[in-house]
Amino acid sequence: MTSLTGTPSLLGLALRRDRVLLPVWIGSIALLSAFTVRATIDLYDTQLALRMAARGVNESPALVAMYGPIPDETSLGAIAVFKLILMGGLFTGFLTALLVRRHTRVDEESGRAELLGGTVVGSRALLVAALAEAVLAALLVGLGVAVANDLAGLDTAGSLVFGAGWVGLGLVSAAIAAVAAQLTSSARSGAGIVAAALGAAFLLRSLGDVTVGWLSWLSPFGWVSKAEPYAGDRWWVLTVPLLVAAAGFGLAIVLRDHRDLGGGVFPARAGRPDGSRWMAGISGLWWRLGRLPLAIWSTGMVLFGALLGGVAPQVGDMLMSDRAREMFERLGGVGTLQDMFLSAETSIMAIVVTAYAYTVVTRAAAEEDEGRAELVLPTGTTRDAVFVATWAQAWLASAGVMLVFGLSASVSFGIQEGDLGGTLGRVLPAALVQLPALWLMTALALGVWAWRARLVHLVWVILVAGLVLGELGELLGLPQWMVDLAPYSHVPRLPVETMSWPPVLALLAVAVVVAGLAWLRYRSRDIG
Amino acid sequence: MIQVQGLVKDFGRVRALDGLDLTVAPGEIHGFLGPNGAGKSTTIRALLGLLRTDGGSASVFGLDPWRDGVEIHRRLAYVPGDVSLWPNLSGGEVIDLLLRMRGIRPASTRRAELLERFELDPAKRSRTYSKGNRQKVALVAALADDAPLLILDEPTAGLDPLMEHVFRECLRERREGGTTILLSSHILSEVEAVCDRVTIIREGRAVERGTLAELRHLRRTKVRAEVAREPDGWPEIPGLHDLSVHDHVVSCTVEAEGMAPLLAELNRLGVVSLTSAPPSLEELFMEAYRSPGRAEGRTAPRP
Repeated sequence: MTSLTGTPSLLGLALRRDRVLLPVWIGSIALLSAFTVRATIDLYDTQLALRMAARGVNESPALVAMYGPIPDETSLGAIAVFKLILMGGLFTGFLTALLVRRHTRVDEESGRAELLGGTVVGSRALLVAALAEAVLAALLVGLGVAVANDLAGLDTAGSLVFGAGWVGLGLVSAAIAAVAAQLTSSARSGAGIVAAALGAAFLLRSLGDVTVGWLSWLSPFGWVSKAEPYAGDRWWVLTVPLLVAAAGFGLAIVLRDHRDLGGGVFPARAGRPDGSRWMAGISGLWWRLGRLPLAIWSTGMVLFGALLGGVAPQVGDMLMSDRAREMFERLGGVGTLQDMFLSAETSIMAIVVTAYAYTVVTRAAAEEDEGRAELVLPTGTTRDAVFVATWAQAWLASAGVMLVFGLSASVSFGIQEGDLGGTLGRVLPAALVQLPALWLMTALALGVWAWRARLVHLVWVILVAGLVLGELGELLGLPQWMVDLAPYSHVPRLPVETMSWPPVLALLAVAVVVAGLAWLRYRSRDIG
Repeated sequence: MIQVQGLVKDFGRVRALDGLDLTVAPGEIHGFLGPNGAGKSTTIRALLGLLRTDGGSASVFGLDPWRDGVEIHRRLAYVPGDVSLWPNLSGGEVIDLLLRMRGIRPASTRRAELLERFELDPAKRSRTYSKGNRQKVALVAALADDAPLLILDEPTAGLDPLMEHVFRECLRERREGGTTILLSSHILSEVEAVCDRVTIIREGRAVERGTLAELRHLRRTKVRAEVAREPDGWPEIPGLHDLSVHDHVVSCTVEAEGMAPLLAELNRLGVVSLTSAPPSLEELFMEAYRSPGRAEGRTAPRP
């Protein structure tokens, strides 16, 4: 028996368990790509319209920060896919990370791995089978998307480079998930490491494309855009993700060899023999369970904020043609350009922090699904207390994280500008004005949990829907009312626009109503 | 203390409780027996107000569990069947958390004594506990104070025999203190050792209930006798079964009503030796489980 014995049957089992997830996910990504490409082709029917649009994108720091630049302003394909590099990359990255996590650490935590490990299965088989499934999934995504774009009317070579770019991202993401699964013995912290890594990758690409160019080369998202599908078709760039992924796979296997099944590389420390006075009720428990993620997110936000504020003064150096600079100066100076950048970055942050708030809600649901609500509720803790504690934690913790981000960005920007008061007034409100939209998204997640704890993973569908509707809705030609469904699209773009209270208050009111309905539902359903 | 009448609970198309009756009197240890999937845990969850029921009535302390769940919870302690703990909290933290949630100061309880008796290290993180140790954490938290009602759902499933013994001791002490205990189990020896009365359920219905003595009363006793004279024929004895006479040895099973006539007849034949064995709970159990049709309508009269 070698360390790989049993891998094929484990791979078969994994594919069988994911027989719905994989086709649905891969099919959705390919369709999304095909529809976006088709819509773009229909939209720009003349070369002139195409070039104007591409120029417009490349001269907007907000758009470049969000999606990356368009390498060739005359290429229809490059314009068609410039938003898809981010979207598809996220979809592919999430998919492969999810597969690896699901078939390694989650199985170890639940004891299923032990059940399998007792059969004729080598020590590395579980990990290698999960990686094999992720590689297979990434290849299928890449192939599906290449075929979809080709059929939608783009050239074949570019479509293959584009598909291969996504494959590379999927592989890197699988490698990160595999290493994270070895490091900690809890699946939840493993997922946190992957989310943080993808977030950091996105930010590096975003900052690099707008300011210091080489930062983009540190990011897996950057590698996809550097491959320049439909423009340069630079195949060689894609060896970078391939090498990085291979190194990650190797590292994960080495780490696996040096630990026990169920254990982590970081050993579990002894705990305290008695409970703290502070942990005396459901709120105390929730904050105790949430304090480590909160600390990690806050630290991350301080760093991101500082980085963002640090590069903000250089916005434009990379982008601006003389003509554009003239235009911006007429509009109100380079400050406007920086404002557009800040506004774009804070709205991205709002989506990222929504993901954090969702982990708060999904944890409360997992408490119930894993049987611990049955331990808590019969102590005299009311359902109202459980709901309100979860609601409060999701809203307050996400607000705190946004605040930390806004403060850090303001301070780091202000130190360079020598005007701390001024930057505080520009950046902090831009961060805080996002909260009502973020809270409404969170209230929807509370609704899913209150509806049925077991289905709480549907919240991620809501997040993706919010992202797609808000970001791609107009391009896909969706009716305005559908675009308006995304809460983020109603937030005033501070500091570019002026503050407008009605949409903000409306978002807040809807959020409170949704959360209230969720509360009513949670009071009246079966637990567990 | 606990009154359940005709309780019905459906999960989609599956009927988990199908007109269940259960009565637990104050101060008794009530065994709640049934095979896996019979509806024991569902009943308990309904009693705790975690599930909304679809018919019948349930009351605990005279209160409705769905409406007044929290009022009920303040007066009871509960150990779930499958104890799941927070992986990164230590056992001691969990015990104190559960006690404080019930409004009890941990220092004022028998926590320390119980930790010692159950040989539990409270500083270990729950992730590293075995099933038995997780069970102990929940047991210590439940037994540490004097809740007037204990609801225990298969609490000894992961305990070793020594710990099971400690657990039984604790239960007896609590009964002397006047605590009412509902103990669900499928371990017969446990129920036989500690319970005053038993309800056996199967497929969501109570098929037997009464004291152990009463349940035995309904069942046949095995009798084997050696007699001096070969019997030449038997009188009609009510409730006599499985009779075989072989070379001066008579063996049979007999229901309670036939015991006196049987002994009279054996006496007439000149009994030389006699052994009789009461049915074990195991046999009662098997019978109740296997033949719901036959077992129905044979419930013992309530005391």
